[in-house]
Amino acid sequence: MYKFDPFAIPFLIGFAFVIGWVIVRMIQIFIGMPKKDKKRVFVNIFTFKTVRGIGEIISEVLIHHRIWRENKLLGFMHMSFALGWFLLIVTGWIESSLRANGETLPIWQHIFYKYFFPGEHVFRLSDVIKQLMDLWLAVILLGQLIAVLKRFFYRRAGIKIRTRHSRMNRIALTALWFIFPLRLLAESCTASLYGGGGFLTGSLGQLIAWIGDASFITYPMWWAYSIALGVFFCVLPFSRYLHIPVEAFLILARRWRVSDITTINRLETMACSACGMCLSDCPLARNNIAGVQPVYFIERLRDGKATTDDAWKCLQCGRCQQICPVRVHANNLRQELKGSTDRVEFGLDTHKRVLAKRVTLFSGCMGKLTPRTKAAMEKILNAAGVEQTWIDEERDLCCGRPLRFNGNQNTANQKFNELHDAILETRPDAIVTTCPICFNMMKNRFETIPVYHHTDYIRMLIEAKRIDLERSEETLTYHDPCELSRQAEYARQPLKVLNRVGTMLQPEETGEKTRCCGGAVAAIGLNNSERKTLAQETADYLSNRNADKIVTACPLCKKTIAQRSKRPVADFAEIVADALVERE
Amino acid sequence: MKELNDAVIIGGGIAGLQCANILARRGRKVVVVERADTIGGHVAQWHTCYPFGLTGKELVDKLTTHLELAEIITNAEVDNIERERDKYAVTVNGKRHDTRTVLIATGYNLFDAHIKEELGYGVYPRVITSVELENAWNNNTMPFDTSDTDAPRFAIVHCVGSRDLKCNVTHCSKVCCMAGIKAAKELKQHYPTCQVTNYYMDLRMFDTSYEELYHNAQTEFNVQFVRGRISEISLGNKGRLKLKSEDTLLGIPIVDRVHGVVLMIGMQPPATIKVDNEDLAKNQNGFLLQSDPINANLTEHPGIFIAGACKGPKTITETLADAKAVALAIDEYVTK
Repeated sequence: MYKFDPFAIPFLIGFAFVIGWVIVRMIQIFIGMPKKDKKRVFVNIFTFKTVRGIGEIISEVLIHHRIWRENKLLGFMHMSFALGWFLLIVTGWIESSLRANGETLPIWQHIFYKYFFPGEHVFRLSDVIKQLMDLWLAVILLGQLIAVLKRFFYRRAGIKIRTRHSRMNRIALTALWFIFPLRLLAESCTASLYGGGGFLTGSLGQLIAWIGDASFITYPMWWAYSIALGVFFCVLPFSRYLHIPVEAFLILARRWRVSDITTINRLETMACSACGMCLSDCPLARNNIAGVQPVYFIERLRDGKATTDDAWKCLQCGRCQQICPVRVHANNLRQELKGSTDRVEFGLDTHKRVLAKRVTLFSGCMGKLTPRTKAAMEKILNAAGVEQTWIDEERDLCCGRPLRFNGNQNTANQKFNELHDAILETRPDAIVTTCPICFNMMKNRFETIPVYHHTDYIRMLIEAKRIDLERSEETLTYHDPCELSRQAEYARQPLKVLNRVGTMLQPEETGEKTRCCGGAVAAIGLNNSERKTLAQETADYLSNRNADKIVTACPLCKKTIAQRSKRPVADFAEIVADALVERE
Repeated sequence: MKELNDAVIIGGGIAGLQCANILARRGRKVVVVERADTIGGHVAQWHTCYPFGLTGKELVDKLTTHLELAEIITNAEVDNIERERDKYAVTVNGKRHDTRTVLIATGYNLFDAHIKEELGYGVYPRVITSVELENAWNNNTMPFDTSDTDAPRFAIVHCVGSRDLKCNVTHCSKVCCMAGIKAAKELKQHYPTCQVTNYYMDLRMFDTSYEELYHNAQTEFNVQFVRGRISEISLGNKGRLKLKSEDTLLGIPIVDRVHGVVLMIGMQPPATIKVDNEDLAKNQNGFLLQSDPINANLTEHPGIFIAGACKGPKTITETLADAKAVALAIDEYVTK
């Protein structure tokens, strides 16, 4: 019964190789994990977390939900390949199993079912399954048509900058593109000789039969199909298609709360699909400054060929992380290259929110270069009757984040501890900083004391009616600092406050899609003219709305934009301070 | 037929006035176009001009001896400059002036000290610019309130908006070294018990008598000079300002507490001028570019001349010489 034909050999080799490779790598990664995380895996594996993980695998690996959200056409293209192929395998397996009627079939008979069982077979649901199989194949081929057209008309597909792929990726891509047309031809040729097949393969089979005798090419077609599969599988671990198996493991590792940064970094490196979505909105790509976008950087990282530019030219603004369908945290990978970690949680401080009577404020190094912001903050807090201590008024303190960005972990920790102790000495009820870079470093790290960014704190004061604001005729453009809108996920709320004091003229890319001001402390590898280009682009972009003022909430953004914009730049606090209404 | 002028001079500062005065004296028909409501430009605001010690007003008066022969339009906006064969049509406030030649003498804009926010201009009233210092002397007022101290300390910060990559400026504004020392001496004369410190990067004492000024400030007026840029100014106790810097000669970080700060603000390129709807050529710093290595006042458009600080920062002496040169060039061009 175990019929075998040598044409299945290329497929079997490839299949065995890819399965073996992935298993070995995943075991390696598991062994390399710290004990704490291994324990977590065992604790969490039989919980609801795994179910959720599988849900996410279906939504991301198969349906590609995040790509759908960004670009419908690309979403459909990716889904048609992934979900289409998956359904083809599953339905095919069901079809062959039903046909076998309880017997166990060897894998090649499942995969090349139509070769081993040509012609029409009648069993339960056979008619439906036959048509479904062809439907899935048709969906994949439609996706492939889009993929081919996208190569030539990439702008039509909403892609601003096209990815330049490596040789391995191109080989894998070619093999992949051959698989489904070859399958169609192989099955149709078989159908032309023996009948059977659904609306696609069956009809094409009849057409081929009408043209002539296809018996002489049928067998070579099956060989070709098997070879295409074999080549694709053999190249897969060394190409971007590695993301197909690894992304599932990455999703599970995240769900199981694996916290070891090295493990996650390794998985993310392999899970990058090189889709190139990170290219379109990268300021470095848009201005042709450096090809260090994750799509290229991670490929070099896999080959162990990451460059100094990869580490030091990126602004780490996080735009690519935000758009990445796999949620690869390229910033963590770059930090690893720089020799330090900057693992900052997303979101705000999670402690109980209190308005606080006594507040300790921290300007930070950039905040000290923007005294107008501090003066405005003092005015607001005085109006609200909040007792304030500015911790770095006399002393120079540092949150340590810039040192982390630049690979100096030890000094960074030391600096943070100094700040931590100095702040605790003032016994505050709450801590407020005017710098989002410091804020991300400080949040959740002061035992029970909540840490706020000043935009958040001011909003609380307004909501608690501790201060009153007056509307003016001014028009404003708000620039979201990347550290606030993307890292702290605090994007819409400042706009709500600003909407109450002026008329907002927002650019297209705003909120979590904000552009980098170009001042980023992480990118010390950029030279002066490159920085100038980046900063000028953003300053012009913001000035284009012709608002009376550009507003931002980060001292670094403020200084960078103010130096190049045609419009005056003010901090969020200055706008609020100007709009304050004196109380009797 | 409309009357044809010999020259339309855009900019009624010292360059424009010098040139207009000379051409008028030689019987040329000249129109001076000035954006502000009075002529004299920046120089008219200066209290004393080094090295001759004239006030700005006196200096401007010396340049206007024959100007009753010229037409002067103040509060003027140049709308358009268009070439029509061998002449130009300059539209000023909607009125057309035909002319053989046009002189661009638009001077410079002052650097906006608000951009260097870390220096606290606009935040602390005791931080003023060099222009405000001159204005104070002009109005016979004291620039700083020192009623709270017997021995006030002042700081003069050089190179604000000059040679500063962080605010997109690479050029040197040339005159502030000298003007900063002059300001230190004046502060010392007005506040005899004060101590003045100048914070500089380099002191470029290039002209005759500049080096003497520098020497004299140290020996006679006891002005202190510290090589270092100010990184930030914040409010210290007792209303004093806290300056942070590094003494780069000693290699140590320093903190100075002072009662007043003067920012020596630099020169920025003037607003762009379009000829036939195209910008005139500029150098890398945004100032107008001379097209000929020998004749310092030519542009790529025959009949369009440039002179003065619109070509780059210049001292008064240099500007006046340049303006005299352009007067000769225009005179020759018109005669031809």
